[in-house]
Amino acid sequence: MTNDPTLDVAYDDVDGDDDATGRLIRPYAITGGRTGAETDIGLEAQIQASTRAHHLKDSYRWEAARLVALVAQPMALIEISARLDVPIGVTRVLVADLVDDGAVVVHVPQTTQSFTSLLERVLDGVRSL
Amino acid sequence: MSAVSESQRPTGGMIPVKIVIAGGFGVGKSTFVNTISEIEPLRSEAMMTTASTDHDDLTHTSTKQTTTVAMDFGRVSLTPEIVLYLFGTPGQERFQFMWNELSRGAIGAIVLADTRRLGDCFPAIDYFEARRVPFIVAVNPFDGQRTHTVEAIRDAAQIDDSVPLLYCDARERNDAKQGLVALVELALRRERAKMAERV
Repeated sequence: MTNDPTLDVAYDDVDGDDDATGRLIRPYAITGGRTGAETDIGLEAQIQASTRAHHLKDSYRWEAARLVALVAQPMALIEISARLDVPIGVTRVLVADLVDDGAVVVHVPQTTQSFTSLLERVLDGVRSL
Repeated sequence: MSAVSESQRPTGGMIPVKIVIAGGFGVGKSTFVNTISEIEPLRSEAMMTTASTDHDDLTHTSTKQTTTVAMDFGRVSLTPEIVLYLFGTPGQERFQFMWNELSRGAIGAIVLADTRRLGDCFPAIDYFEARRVPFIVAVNPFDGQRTHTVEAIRDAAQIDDSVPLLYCDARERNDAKQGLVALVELALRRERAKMAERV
């Protein structure tokens, strides 16, 4: 998945039979112990598989593979976390690695509008709920 | 992200905005999220290592504990481009670290209050006040009885006149909607005032 040898070891360990306690007990094993605090992806950030994802997807396993499959359409980081049932920090690390690979992208909303005009549109939106 | 060229970047991402639903334990935060969300509310977990120091401990050792915090959230599309995320925050004061994450970039917060336990909403009010996050206080009448006037509640809880205060039955879609409208109006007034100051 990445060039990070720590991560590869963690994946091998997950596959190995020495992990009798089960993978979900130690979710940070799949991220090489990183907690996600070092990345800056907002909870509401929209994540989507890139056009390269279908070339890469067979090289992923476990959560990474499920994540790529989940974001054919844009989905917020927090929703990915909930649907994969992995903690938010772990989801952040998975997404950051997949971004490095070019398999997914974090959408940066293309808006030239000011925050004021965004709030005006939000207000119209909530009034029509 | 820099590794991805423009041609590989799919288009069509929505603009996400978020609003925090705060307040004491059991005050109706999840109910509020559920009332407005267009999806079945989801639950996500964050793990946090907290260092706690026992002041009476003469050895001055601190112990680290891993805490799992669950938060409920929902979403609703406001326009074809804008999607609103609603986060029900963990109520306990010791989970303020989660509030930092939630408040970052949020439009603001709705602090739910219960007249039987008004004090429960004070930590949330103090938090958002100190960080200048726009917030309103919404009184959730559990028995459906609106026995106190809004003014009486404002007096009793010493809520500043600048903070919008309203009754809001978290089960009622229109009530929850009015809460959102009041908050976004406040955020917009604040933002416009900020812009005016800069000119």
